[in-house]
Amino acid sequence: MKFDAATADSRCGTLDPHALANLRRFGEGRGSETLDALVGTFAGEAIERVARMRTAIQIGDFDTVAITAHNLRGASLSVAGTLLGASCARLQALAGEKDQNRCTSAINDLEQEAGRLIAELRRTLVHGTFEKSAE
Amino acid sequence: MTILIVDDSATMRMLLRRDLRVAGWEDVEEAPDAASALRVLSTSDVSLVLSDWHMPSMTGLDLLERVRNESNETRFGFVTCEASDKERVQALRAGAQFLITKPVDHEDLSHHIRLALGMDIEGYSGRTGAEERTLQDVLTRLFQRPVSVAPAPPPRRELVRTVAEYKTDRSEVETACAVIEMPLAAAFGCALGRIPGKGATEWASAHNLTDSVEKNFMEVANVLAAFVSAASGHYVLHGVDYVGEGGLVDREKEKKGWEDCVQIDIAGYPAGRLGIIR
Repeated sequence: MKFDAATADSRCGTLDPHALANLRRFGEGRGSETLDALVGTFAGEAIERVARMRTAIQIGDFDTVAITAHNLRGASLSVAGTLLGASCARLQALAGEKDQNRCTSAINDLEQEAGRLIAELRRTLVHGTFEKSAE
Repeated sequence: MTILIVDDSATMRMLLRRDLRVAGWEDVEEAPDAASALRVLSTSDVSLVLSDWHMPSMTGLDLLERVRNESNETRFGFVTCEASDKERVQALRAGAQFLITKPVDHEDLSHHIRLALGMDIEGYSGRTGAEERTLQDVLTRLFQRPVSVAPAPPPRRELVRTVAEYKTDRSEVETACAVIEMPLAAAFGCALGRIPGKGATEWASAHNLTDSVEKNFMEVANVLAAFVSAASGHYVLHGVDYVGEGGLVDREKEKKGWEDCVQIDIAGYPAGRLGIIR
């Protein structure tokens, strides 16, 4: 199957096209390995931060929740994750209100969105670029 | 020339390092937090720090204050997720050269770094850091707002011109042509209360010298001449005249060469470039 950027992009409308174009340039000349490393780094970071925020919510450390959500938001937006960025912003706001129940609900949503984003990044960038470069 | 990236996100450090490499900066150090950054700064000759704002333990602003306690020479830029007007003012007041938001546009990043470092900029006259700070001080006092000044390429967009005569320290009268971009001209007008603030961006983006701007231009020109005079001790303002309603710089003038081309950012107003042709 050949890579079709248009199809891939329509499949993942949650990705910010401008940031996505920047990411494609990230791998230029160096194949999919670099993008694989980038997506892998982001995935590890997202998993670690979700776990950190979940623990912080449980113990009522809302400052840690807010700053971690803020930082994950920056990385998310930089890897084209508009929806995950919005989830992070929502959790950051809820942490400001120190609302444990709503924070718990928000971290569940955020975790799901992070999983979707990582899968889309792998499908769109890593596999897509590899097949494109193999044409 | 070393650039230090400070961000607790490994993803961001990877992306920024890549952007810097593409822009030609290979000598890049990384730190995952402010404390590590301070250790790098104590052992390496870092020209510019590129820091996140919100980090655990010590914020980017705290880091900037620590850096400024040691040196005014190290350039400092923030790369942050979002920035309120209050944070932008805080950043400039604390001595940052720029603040940009994520996701980072790599061309924008490169532009700001080059301005901050004064590197490879066409027409750059070789201002020293001390002169930039003098000009910054004068403008800050004048506008009562945080101001940043950095070396810049000559102005190229819609321009407003003035001709000012100066007496040199040898009592010879010289003529200087000051060229200013519309956004900055409008900013000066706004800062002086002559042009409503919300109109500045529209005027600037329209690239059109309106009647309102014209009416206030003498004031703008006087301000311009005043700070040029104050920033260059051997020049004394002799007179200022308004010579036209903008446009490109005369080729003849341009041949003489630019001096003192700077980017000026006044907090709360559109930024712009100012150039002097002598």
